[in-house]
Amino acid sequence: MTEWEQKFRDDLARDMAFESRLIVKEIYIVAIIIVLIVLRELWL
Amino acid sequence: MMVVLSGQPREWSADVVDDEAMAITRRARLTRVLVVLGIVVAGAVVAAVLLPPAPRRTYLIGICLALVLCGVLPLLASLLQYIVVGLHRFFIGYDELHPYYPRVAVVVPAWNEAQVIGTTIERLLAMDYPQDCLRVYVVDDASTDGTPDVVRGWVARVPDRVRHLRRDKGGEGKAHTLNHGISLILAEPWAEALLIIDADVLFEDSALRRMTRHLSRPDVGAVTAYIKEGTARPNYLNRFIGYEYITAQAASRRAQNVFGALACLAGGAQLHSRENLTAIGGRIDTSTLAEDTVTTFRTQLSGKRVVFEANAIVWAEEPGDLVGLWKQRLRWARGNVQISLQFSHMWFHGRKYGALSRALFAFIWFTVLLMPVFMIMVAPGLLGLYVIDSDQAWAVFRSLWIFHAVIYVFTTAMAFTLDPSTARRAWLQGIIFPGLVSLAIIVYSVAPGPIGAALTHGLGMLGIAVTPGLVRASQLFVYGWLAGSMVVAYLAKWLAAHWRWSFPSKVLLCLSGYGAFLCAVTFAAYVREFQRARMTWEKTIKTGKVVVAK
Repeated sequence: MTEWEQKFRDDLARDMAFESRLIVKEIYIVAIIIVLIVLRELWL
Repeated sequence: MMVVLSGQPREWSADVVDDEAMAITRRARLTRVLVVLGIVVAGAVVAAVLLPPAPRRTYLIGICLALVLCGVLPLLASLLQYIVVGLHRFFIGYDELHPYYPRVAVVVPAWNEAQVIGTTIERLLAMDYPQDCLRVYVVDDASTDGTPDVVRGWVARVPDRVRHLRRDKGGEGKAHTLNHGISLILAEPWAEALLIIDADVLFEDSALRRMTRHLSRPDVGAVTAYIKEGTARPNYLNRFIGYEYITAQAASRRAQNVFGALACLAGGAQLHSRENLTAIGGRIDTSTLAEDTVTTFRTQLSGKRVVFEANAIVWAEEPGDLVGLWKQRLRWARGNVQISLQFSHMWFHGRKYGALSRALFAFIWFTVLLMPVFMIMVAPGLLGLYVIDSDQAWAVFRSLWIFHAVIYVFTTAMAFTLDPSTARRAWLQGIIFPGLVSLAIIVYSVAPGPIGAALTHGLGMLGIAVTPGLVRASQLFVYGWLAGSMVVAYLAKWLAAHWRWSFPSKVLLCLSGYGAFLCAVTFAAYVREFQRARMTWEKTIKTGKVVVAK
């Protein structure tokens, strides 16, 4: 494998990892907002 | 190597004739739109007058609710764009990419850029990309400062990698300058791809190779990068812009990748395959103020995909004062109005023109373009409801702002997630992005009981009694706020232009919100286009304050 092929693979691995994590983070954020809405309904 | 172009190229006079014809067509279409709108409004008024009292009340309530619902559209568009960001991984096409390092000609239009051009060339040459596959062509638009000397210095040092294309007469705008460079580059067989940039942008080491890999797919015609605000010592406005770019690029353009149609290749970082640029005519459009958007549309209309690569980072210097920002954004907004009219045959046509003509893309495009109209419509909607049924007005108002609160929390948290480094730099501007008044309304809408009691207590301590009159005045103020915030934002710009002391305009911008400022600019763009104002290309001053963040 050439140096440039290796760089291509390294970039791609990093970028795919970042993009894949986005959906997990989004799910966390939506879950937190739902919890906040439920707490508001219970307390107010 | 230096190529001197003497006089104007032959095709320029033809450009002027075509541009004038296009301007006339746009005016005719704008007149048609205004006539149709006038007929609709007149019809609604006549119906209200002619109806008997009982159905008239129901009719007016319906009209008012419809006006308020228009204010929900931008929130829905924002939610839609952020919610699909998580799916971007499945639409960006990483699995289909191959290593691809084409011979890239970088086209740098430069008009009096002595302060920045040297650093830009240095960064371009230092990129981690095969050295024999990269050439920089500086198209010097008859600069009268030290730009030619700086570029000649680089040509002398690396004659194989930097070229100086000098025009005798300049000042016609970026598109004309680019066309000089592009025509010369395409006349030679060397370049396999062209990277069009601005003279001040600084590319991160890996940015170009992260872009070129997408051209390994035959269906991709052009790629754009994520342009970040990179002023070394940012002021409050630079930070607002930095945060805005998370929403406008990192989130919105990811969503557009998912939807299959991109609204704009960033003018400061757009990579085209040679085949694509040739297919769209081998030149950049000169008939509007948003040449990069026209290029983007034409690429997609010719059947090629356009990709936003969020991980290719480019740093740019953005205006540090409200007057400069207003000028820049007015040009962009006028360009978008012109394009909406120029491509009017395309909107809402299913898949006839690919993903660009689908209703989803049109929804995103027009909610941004018409956001000032939607914000203004909320005010008469709520005030009309208040006159008819004040309790119903209050219920609708609270529902609108509770929805606003949920969208605000979701989009702000997602924005911070999408670009943590900008979030660390501009966290405060991210939080107050909607404006302090809107934030106060959001907080009150979410918890009116405790906040109302605290307000009553606080005002009581100041000796102010909460009378029914005060309550009514407060209600009328908040009902009209979305429209009023644009007036306050305009006032901030006016003060910045007429007063040396910048603090009051800064306070007004924080109160009104950065979004209200952008809406005020867009509204001004409607007016300028309606007035048929001349298309002047006002250069954004760059002073070389940008650094590539580590």
